[in-house]
Amino acid sequence: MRAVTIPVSGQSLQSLKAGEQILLSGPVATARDAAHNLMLNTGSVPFDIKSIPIFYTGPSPAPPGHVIGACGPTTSARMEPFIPEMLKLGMKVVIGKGEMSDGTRKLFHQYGAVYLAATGGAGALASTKIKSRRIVAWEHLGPEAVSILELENFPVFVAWDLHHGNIFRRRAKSNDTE
Amino acid sequence: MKESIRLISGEEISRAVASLYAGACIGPHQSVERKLTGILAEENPGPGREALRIEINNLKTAAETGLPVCQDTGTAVVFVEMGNLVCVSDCSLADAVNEGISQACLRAYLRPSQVFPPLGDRVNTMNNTPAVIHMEHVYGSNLKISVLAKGAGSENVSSSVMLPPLAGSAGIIDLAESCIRAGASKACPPVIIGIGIGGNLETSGILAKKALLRDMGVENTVPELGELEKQITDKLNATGIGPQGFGGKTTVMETRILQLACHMASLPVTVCIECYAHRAASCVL
Repeated sequence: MRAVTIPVSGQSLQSLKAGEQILLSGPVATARDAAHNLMLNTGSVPFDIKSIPIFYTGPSPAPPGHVIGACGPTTSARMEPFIPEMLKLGMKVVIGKGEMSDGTRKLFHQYGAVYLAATGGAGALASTKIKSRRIVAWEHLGPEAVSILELENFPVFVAWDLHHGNIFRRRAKSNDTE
Repeated sequence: MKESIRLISGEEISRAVASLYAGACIGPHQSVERKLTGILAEENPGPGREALRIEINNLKTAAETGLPVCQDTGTAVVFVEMGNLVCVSDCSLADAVNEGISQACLRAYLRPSQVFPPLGDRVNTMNNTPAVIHMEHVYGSNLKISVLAKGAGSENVSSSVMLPPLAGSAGIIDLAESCIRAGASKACPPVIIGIGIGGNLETSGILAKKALLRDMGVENTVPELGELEKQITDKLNATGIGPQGFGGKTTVMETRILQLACHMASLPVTVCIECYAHRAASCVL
């Protein structure tokens, strides 16, 4: 498994291949529905969107002795209405779960962005790969507040790469009518 | 024979609910782990198989660390079978259940995910109440409580439909297939499919949820429904969607069906998709 460090260089981004599992280290920003709504309504993104990947997640509270609670990905498709604007602002890497529409996939390709899929429902394991959490905006949103997480060898799969590779199209061909 | 009323305090119910809910969210989840381990052994190499490994490791990690399996500790869906001789002595059943959910949320560090009002401000209630409570009044002096922590990722790709009355099993299979093809990758597969057939608009949904409570590996008591379950599971596994949607042999672990009588002009059906972790627990007081 390859280790990839954030910020992900252009060369590194180019080399990612759909279906590949990588271990991601460095800072990511958490944001989901409510935070996206606020970011786009206020016009203020409280982190450097060009270098820091967005992780679609709303962690559970940290028990004593833990940096963070369970912290797996939420469904990316819910963020699709916000994605065109975020790509325009320079978003290059997204971490989430589940397939998104073909239209969104084409936009990712157009803007040279990569979609990474973390394992949905694997929040306890994810928690052990997070070294710190710092809330940077909208604390009142609770689990939906924007925070910066420091990842260390966080396992993700390359879902959409820069070369039209798509992890969600690795299906048995025989019975698939799609 | 004269039976006496059995008094159960709200506190006893709250304690039981809190322990079930926290236990469901954290584990251990031995039957799911065993099932996934069997699926892993059959899976072809590829990202789907690697995702399965992560799912299994995650269940172990949760049980070891006391962290919830998933950050989405769900809507707490609570089924209560209340014997006719049981009387909650000092509060309503709903208050006792909600107190238990709140205690578990705060003490076991579960995520509060309920917001109100659903339109507009959507303010978090901060203790994951209210629970969704389904009560059945039965004969006897027992109080059976089952708690299902139902995540939104899988709930959002579920579907309730009023089918034409003669749509038959083909109509059910089509509905399950459309849910899985459109949404399985968002629901953390391999999933369990709960199906409620019959009843009416609201009961088919409750039935589908209740169907999910059947233990892993247990067969349907109605042979024809057992056949239909197998047919659905096999057909949808042939899609190749696989674990996490990354491709593979198993998209559906099991299909579980319950049925009820319905109006001659209707065939209400709910297909309820449940994530791989299937966080459920029950007890009898």
